[in-house]
Amino acid sequence: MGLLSIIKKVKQREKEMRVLMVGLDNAGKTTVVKQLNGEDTSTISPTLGFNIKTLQYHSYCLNIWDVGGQKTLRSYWRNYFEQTDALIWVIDSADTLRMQDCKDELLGLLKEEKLVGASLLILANKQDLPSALTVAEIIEELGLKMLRNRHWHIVGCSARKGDGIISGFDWVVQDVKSRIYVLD
Amino acid sequence: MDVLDPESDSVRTCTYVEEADELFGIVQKAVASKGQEAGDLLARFSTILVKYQEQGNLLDPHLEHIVEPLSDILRKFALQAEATKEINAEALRGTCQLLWTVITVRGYKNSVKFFPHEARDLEPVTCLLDWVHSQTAKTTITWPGTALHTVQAVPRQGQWFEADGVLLLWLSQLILIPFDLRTVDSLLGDVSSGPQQSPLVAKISSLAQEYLESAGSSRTMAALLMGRLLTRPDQATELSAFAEHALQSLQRQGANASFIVPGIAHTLAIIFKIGHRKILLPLVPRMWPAAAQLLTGSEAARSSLVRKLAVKLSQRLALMTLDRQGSTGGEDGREVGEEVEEAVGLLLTGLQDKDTVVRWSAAKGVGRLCGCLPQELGDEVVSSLPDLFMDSSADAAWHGGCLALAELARRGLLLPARLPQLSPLICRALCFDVRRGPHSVGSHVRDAAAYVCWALARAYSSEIMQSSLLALAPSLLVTACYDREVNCRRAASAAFQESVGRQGGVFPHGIDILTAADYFTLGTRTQAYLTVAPFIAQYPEYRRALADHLLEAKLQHWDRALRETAAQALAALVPTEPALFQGHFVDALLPLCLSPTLEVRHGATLGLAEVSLALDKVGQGLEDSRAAQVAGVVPAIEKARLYRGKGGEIMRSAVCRLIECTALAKLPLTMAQKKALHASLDENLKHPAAAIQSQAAVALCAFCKAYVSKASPEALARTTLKHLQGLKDANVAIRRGSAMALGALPSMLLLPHAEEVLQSLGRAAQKEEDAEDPDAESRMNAVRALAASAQTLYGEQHDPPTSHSAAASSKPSREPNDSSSQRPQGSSAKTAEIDTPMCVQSRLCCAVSATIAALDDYSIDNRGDVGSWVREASMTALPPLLKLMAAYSPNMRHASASQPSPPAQSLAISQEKPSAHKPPITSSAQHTNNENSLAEANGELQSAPQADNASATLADADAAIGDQISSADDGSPQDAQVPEQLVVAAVRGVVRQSVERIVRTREAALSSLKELLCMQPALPCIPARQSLEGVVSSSNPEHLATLSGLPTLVSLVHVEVLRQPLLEGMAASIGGLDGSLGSSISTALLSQCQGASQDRTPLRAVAQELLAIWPRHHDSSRMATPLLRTLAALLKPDNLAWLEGNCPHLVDAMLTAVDGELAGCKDVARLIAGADALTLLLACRPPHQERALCSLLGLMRGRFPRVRRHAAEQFYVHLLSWEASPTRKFTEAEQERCMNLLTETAWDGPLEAARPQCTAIADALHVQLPALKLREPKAVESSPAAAN
Repeated sequence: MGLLSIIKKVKQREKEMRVLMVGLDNAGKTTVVKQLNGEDTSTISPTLGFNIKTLQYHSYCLNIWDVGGQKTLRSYWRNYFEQTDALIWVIDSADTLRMQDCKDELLGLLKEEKLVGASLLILANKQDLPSALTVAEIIEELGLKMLRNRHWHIVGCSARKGDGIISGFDWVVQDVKSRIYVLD
Repeated sequence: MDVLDPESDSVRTCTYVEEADELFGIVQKAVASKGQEAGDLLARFSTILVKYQEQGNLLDPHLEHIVEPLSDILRKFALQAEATKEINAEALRGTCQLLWTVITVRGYKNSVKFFPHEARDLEPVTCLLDWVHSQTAKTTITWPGTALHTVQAVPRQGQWFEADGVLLLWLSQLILIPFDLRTVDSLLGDVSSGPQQSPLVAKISSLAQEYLESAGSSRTMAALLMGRLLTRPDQATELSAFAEHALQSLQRQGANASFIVPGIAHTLAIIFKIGHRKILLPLVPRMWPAAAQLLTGSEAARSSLVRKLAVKLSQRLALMTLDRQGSTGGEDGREVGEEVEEAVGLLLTGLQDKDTVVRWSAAKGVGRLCGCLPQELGDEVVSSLPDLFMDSSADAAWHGGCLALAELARRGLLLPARLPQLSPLICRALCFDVRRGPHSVGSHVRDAAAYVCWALARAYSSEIMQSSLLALAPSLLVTACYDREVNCRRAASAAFQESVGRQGGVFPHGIDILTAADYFTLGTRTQAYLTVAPFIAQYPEYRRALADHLLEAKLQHWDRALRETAAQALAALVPTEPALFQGHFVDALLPLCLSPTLEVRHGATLGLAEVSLALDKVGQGLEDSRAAQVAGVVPAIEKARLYRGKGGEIMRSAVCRLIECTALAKLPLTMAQKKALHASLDENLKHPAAAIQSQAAVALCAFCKAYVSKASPEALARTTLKHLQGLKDANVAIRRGSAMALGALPSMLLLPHAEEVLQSLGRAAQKEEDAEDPDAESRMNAVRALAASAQTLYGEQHDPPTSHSAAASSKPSREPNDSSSQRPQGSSAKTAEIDTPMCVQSRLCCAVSATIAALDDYSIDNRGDVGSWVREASMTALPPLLKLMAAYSPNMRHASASQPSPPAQSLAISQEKPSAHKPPITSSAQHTNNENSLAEANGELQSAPQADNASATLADADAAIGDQISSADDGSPQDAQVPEQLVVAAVRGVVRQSVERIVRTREAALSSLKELLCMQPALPCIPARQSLEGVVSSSNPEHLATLSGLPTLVSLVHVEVLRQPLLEGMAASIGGLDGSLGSSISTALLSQCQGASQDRTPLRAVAQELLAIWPRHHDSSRMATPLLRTLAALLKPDNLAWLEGNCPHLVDAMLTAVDGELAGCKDVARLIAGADALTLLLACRPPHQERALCSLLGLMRGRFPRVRRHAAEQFYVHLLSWEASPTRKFTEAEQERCMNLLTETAWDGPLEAARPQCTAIADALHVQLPALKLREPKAVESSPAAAN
């Protein structure tokens, strides 16, 4: 493998991003993906297992791993950590009861060494519901200000309506792009 | 700044998958047929996909729609397998082959994500794999435990490997499902009943482990599956069981080890890559010794794959023990395990491995490990890397070292403080080149060094990198311009571009340089050396690096061609700073010319030559003392006897160039030096190697122009006269060299002996009459020299004379310097006396006719048709010679000026007689009085009044001139020196070559013809100009010379003036050894003979002409057999019947010609060809039939058994179909008797047995056989008379 083929590989790799999308069950992860892909979001059943969606976003090829969030599945999340460029944590902003559960799972995830260095986008979903917590409240609830050594960003959104998702993904792509890639 | 795109070089790059719909169509067909048609669809499917091999990402948007439906087919098979139903094996395999194509094109890592991953598929797919595996097992050849040592040798996977690979890969994806595997296992009843092992997992695991022992892709897929299975959170128990198993397996020895070890090692490497530290860390202490041992074990020694896997495994184990957050968190001072230290040691060894894949893996390992080590420990590792770059180190170590540096640089792990120490090493690696036998190694090192530079440019900010990159830039540009290998030049330029792009304006003139030195301009070596490098050298920052590199490296490179280019490249740098080259470089080169090392002295001599010349060109010639030194180099080389022994030829060529450049630069020489250099050239002119001779001749030209100021008797004796003498030398090398020399001498030296020069060269171009050593190269050189010297004497430099008196004053003078004006009056006056235009014209006519005569050089020797070289040289020489001749022929010029239409045409119109009405005897009759008809033609040329209706009678026109001039080359060309006639003879000679045997010759003929037709001013008197133009302009010479182009040329056979030469050429091809050429030409010829409907008028003309040329080639070893074969080709039954009906005398003449050729012949091939022709002639009517029969029977009682048998067989075959013949004469009984006689005789037996049988056959058919003794002399005598 000579330099010219390395350069070619790097160029291709720079155009690809692997995104892991997790969160508690019923947070709306699959809806976010479908919305982003322009698919019908009216009938979505709980994800049993995982979905992989490859889609073109601007000039990038996003490889989104959408893993179910039921409690029994959570211990298997780490099956999917390898080579993750960005972590998208989706929250049901109206599910105030499970906010602590949500915080624990997130913080646990962030301790995983294979996710070190991955950009973190938090999607405060279901902002269209009246009972939804605001972005500021969620930052407070999850203690996001305490995060160190982590590029993170939060946007309020409504996956069903489509609000906010684009700006969230824009940030992800920008943030991942700004890093220098290491070919592995 | 974008990096260079390596893809843009390919012929065609795509921006999207244009066949997407077709791909989906194929997938749909496969789905609709439930996989049945998949096998048939594979070829097209894979053709499309492979097109995107290099741009696989374009396929990505479509893969989902390809993989999903195809795997759906598999899913259905899987359900059948689960229900233990019959499975259509072909359909399954075909579907898997489609999927496998996707996987190989796109890579399994990219493809796997498009496979379905629903939990419900896990069980059926496992079942299907089990089924496939059982098929595989059936077709597997079990190998004897001891016999085989290599994995590759076992055809274990056989025809199912695609299915294995696809299903294993799919399972590796399915196994990721985030459920407890027991919940999807149908065989397991109640999950809650306890920690029971799932049978499904056991099945997957055992299948995968079996595949781990296979070769190639299935092993990789199985390792992936095992790795992913065992790193699941619910598989901890299985993981430790596997670890135990693995520990034992890794220590296996013996024949099976090479099957078992790679799979296990690969699985472990994957496990320790993706697994969880908490679970795996406890395993490391036990695993580590096994991994370390694996690397040094016997399997590793044997297989680079095992070494690579061992290097991978050990680095992953070491990484396990390091907390990745450690280095970023900055908690330095932690203890680092023993494993890590050992791993670093192993990796450093791996960097020097003889195999590239191992070095790559080790380099990445070094990068990863250092990334996790505390900073000072990481730096310690870096500090040990320079040890790899030792003078004594192997190229592998340099390569590995560069790769490691690059990996570290990419991760930002090279501390800036290290860079000053490293950059000299990188510079050296950029030009690493180690001679090894007849070639050298190092291009991989240089490429990797460019990688280091590229990585450095990307990883650091410009403030840190500035000084280091500035130090690297000149070396980078040297490699970009001067590397021998194109990939290294491009790699270096890519690295430079990255540096300029990322580091802004750090590099002086960076943008300008990378515009000039891009991927494409560096693609060819010559352009890189002679265009790009001089451009960069205009900037003083880089100039010395470039020039020094040429001097120190490329001028002494092992590749001779590279040294020669390097010498030119050095000269190309001269204009950027003449003073530098005038001083330092000349001083450096001078002593090297006498170096004991061949490469050094050759390069230096050439370099000196080119630099001296370049300095002169920029008007800054060498100062006297250095010029004197340069002038002394050649004598010094000779004195040191560096011409002799190995490499002597290489030095001779360099010396010739040095003398040439010395002369062109007009360096002052002493008398002694002049003598010495001239002697040196004379000696090289005699060298057996043609390349050296021609270089010497070129140098001689320059030398004489520069240093021979007048054509003094001494000078002439040393040059012209000497070489005139040499043309007759017994030594062929001297003949060749002298001819070249005469072609190269300047006109001043040729003029006093112009007549003799042209005549002698003309003579030397002919076949040697009595030479003991005939030499085609000498003749070829003479032909070339003839054209060259004629050009020198009378060419270009002066206008053609307009009157007799003008010639004397417009003496040719090619000398650009003032030497010609110093010519003594006496010599000038002498030449003026002789050189009247008439006299020049006659000399040129002589030269032309000698060249035309050389077209008949068909000599052969053990190298084959060496005469073809002479003929080709002659065809190349003819256009310029004819042009000169025309310029000196006032009549011709007058004709072409006053009569714009070509003479052939005007002649033809005056004939006004359709050729069809001509009596058939005309052509042969005119052979006798061609002088008259030619005179007539010329007369008509002058008086041709009307030129209308030209195109309608074109064919007749061509025919007419043909009749009149057709025998121009029948007699001796030297006798007929009328310029107009010579043009015709030349064209006809060239046309003949255009249909001959050798493609190269045909191409040369067509190029020559094209040149003759396109000459400016137009060459008058070209016969059948319009027909020729029509054919030659119809396509390029290369195409016309091919088999498919030949029919176009053959169609010229209708043009009478060209018919004879064409037939001669075609006959040689038809009868030659090349069967496809022969049949292609004879087919074309036959179709031309076939006129409209039943009309065979063209056939008559062709047959007539064939018989007319026959006497010219009577008993010719080259042409006799071809003529017989051509005749046989023409004698198709209906052709023969037509000829008998319309011109029986031709059939008569044919019989006579055949008899004449066979009489007394001892050439078996010719006799057999004759037998074939005679058998065809048996179809004639009685008188002819009897003659043919007699002759055939004559062959059957001849003395060659093979000929007897062949003739008898042909006769028998003919008798079989005799009934069908309308000319049947014999009764059935006679015929049967005859056939019995034929079959009962052993014709290749004793002659005594055959002869009475012949008599019997003759009796049976009532034919009178001539008495045996009388036959031969009679036939010989009769043939010439009959032909006329």
